[in-house]
Amino acid sequence: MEIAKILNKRVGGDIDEQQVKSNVYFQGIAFYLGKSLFCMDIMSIRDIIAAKKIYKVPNTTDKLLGTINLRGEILPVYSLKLVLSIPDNIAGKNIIEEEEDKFIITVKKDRDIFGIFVDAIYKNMVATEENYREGNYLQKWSKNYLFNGVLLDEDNEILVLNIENLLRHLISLK
Amino acid sequence: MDNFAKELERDFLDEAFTLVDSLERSLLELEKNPNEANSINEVFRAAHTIKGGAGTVGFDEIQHFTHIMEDVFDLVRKGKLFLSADDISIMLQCRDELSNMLYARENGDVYQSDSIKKLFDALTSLKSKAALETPPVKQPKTDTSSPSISNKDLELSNYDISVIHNLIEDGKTLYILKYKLNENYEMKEVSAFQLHALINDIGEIIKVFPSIDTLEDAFVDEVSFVVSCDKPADFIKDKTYLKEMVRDVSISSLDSKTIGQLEKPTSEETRTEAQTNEILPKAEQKPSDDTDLKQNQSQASDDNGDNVEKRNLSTLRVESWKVDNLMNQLGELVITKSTLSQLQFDFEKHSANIKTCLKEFLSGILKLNLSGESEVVSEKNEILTESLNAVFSMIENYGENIQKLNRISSSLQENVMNMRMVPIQMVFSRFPRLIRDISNKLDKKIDLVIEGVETEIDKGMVDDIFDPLIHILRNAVDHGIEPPEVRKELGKNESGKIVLKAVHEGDSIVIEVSDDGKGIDPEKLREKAIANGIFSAEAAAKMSQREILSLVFLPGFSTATQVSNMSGRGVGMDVVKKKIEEIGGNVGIATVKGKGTRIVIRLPLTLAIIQGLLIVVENMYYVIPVASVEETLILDLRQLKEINGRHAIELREKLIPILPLKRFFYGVPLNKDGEAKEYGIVTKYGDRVVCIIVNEVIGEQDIVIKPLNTKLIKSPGISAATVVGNGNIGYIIDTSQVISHYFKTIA
Repeated sequence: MEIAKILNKRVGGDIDEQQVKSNVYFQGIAFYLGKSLFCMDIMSIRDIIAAKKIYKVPNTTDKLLGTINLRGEILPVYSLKLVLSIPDNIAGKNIIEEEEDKFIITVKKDRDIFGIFVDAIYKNMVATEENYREGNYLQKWSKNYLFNGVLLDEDNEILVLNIENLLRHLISLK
Repeated sequence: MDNFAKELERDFLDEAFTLVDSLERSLLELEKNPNEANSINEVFRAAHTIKGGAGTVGFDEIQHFTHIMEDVFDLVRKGKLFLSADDISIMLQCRDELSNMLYARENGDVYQSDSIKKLFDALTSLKSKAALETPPVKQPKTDTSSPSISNKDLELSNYDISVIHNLIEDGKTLYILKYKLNENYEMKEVSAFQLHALINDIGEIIKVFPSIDTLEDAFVDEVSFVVSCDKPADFIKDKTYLKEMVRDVSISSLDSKTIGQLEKPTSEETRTEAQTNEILPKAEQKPSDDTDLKQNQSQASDDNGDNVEKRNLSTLRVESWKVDNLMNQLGELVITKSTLSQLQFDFEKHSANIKTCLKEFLSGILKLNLSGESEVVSEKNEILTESLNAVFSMIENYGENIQKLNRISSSLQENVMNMRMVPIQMVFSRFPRLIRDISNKLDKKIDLVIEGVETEIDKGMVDDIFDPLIHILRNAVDHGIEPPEVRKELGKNESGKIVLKAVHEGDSIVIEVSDDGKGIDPEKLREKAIANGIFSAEAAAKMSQREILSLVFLPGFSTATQVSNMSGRGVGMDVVKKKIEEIGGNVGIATVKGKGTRIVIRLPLTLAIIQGLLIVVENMYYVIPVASVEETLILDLRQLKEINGRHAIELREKLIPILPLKRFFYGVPLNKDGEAKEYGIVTKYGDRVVCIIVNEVIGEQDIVIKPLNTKLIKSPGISAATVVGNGNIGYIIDTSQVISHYFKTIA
């Protein structure tokens, strides 16, 4: 409970008393890909930045949009839309220009760092036993190996990414 | 563990690894010249120093192991033991195990292996062999009235000694009691324990050796005590000298003078130490405790003091990641410098335009002859002209400062680069042992000559070149050098000679391995190539000797008729070539049948910043390392020749195949009827010359290499990235990969 209070304070999000009272599983950031909502555990997130110029790497998968220069580090950026079979009209361009209202979330898993391109940030989320479902609940979604569970938010069901499996999937792309 | 202790351990390990290397070198030298005093001293010094250091940091297994090694080397040094080739092999194995122990400690483990026990036994038998070879000189019996006080019998720790010091300072009387126990005593197992109880009644026992636990367990024939007791020595003797139990007793009092002896090694060790002092350069002696430190300090104030100080000041040990960080930041500086240079170029271009336009504009105004307002206008014109002129001179000034910045950053780059350089000795030092072991196995005699060990190489390359060099050297021993009897028949020296040499040549490091063996028979290669279906007999007949020789770098290509466990499986030279090319180098081969083979590896000086040719393909920046560029051309694509459906350009009456990068990277076909000029970059791939076609060549630049995560980014032909002057990302092309992929795809 104490942790939940601290998290609530740090995030500054509108987390109600009910959530604070429940057990907190994890805290995440929900974002839009087109009109769909997805969520990622904040422990995997390294930065959230306004979309920078992305430079396509030739002879690589479409799902790899290209690379960005983040403080002198060259990082790959993926179209999570294409990974999840959602059409993406920015993919395939040699250079994707910067866009202030779009975002790149950089993700760190052990030694690997990569970015995913998102359309908008929705809000901070706190997963508790009340609003978080996993296991069989995921079965109705395709490519469900890429998700850990589902966050229930009003009428929305927000899929939470399984970063380990996502990275494994990205490494396997040709 | 606190930081100081960790640092101490790191320092010890660094030093110990260096000493282990020197141990190997000297042992090999000793094998050649068994009486070479320097090598004997060197091996002793290495074992001695590691032993001392290991004790300081508490690596007991290393301390014990080096202790017995030191004993053996000491016997060699004193001429009591002669090391045969087999003995040297044992000592080399000890060196390997010692190295394993150090590696384990580096990873926070303690190394355990059955072979250590065997080596301990082997070393012990070497020691006893020495005893047989020269009967020990009988030492005169120590006078009991002035017994030698030795820490060896008591194993006093620094803590014990400080306790003893304090007790003496407090005015207490201390004794050292040494008892030799009677092994025929009925209750001999408990005699030491009984003695302990007796002494405990008359005084306070400060220390007992062996420890009290051992006394309770089994019979010991000698036991020593440090006791605080206010009674005279005779009284203690009367109370404790029980004839049936004790064979002999010696009692000596301990005062502030005699305690000094305890802090020093035993008389035997003191002699060794004294001799060591002659061997060790004073600055390299590692103080093992306070006393040594004091000794060293007092020496420092003597004539050697200057040396100690100079040595400490002249080098600074820095962890490599710190230099890497510095290098990264320098990379950012180089990129910013390029941006500023680009800005200056743009400024100058625009200011030239402004100047021309301004002139025309002003003369136009004059012609207009506007009445009334003309005075105001001309005034404003003057202000405009003045301001613009000021801006132009600022741009000029800016340009000069950019030049200055260029010079500073270049020299900074050079200096930081120098910090990453280490002598190639780090790599070469591992080979004499390797050659020795392989040649022993193959019953060949080989003389390895190493030259240019001081040549410096980027630390990042050290590990990368090790494996390729092993392959090459193994090949030389296994296939190059003939067996001694064959060499004799051929009129050659029985010992084959392999020369391993490193030199700096311009912007490269050249490593050469040459042998005086049987060389490679180009005819055999030709036959093998035809037999393997690589070339038709007709094509093979047309090939030059150089082209034929380059076949050895093809995967799975070996002319060895017999496969040994060393080499000859045809894996090796292709891997060598791949590895060397991965780090931006190239490898060549020359051979004379019956005379020998020479393999030359050329490596770039550094891996962090390279000279690259910045090019544009489909509006994207790419970099081709200057090292792989032969020349650049402006092409008129309408002049392209077409042979068998493939395009080529004609250059100095030679046809060179082309590789349009926009087709390779983007699948865009070459518009050979268009009027737009394209650029050709002539590059070499093995013996093939290829012309890479690009849209634009911007120029040669310092390119800061930014690594790409190749697990995620798998693009054939792209090895890394960089940030170009205007902040854009450019990809660095590995020309050999691009060429081999392209010709595979169009084949």
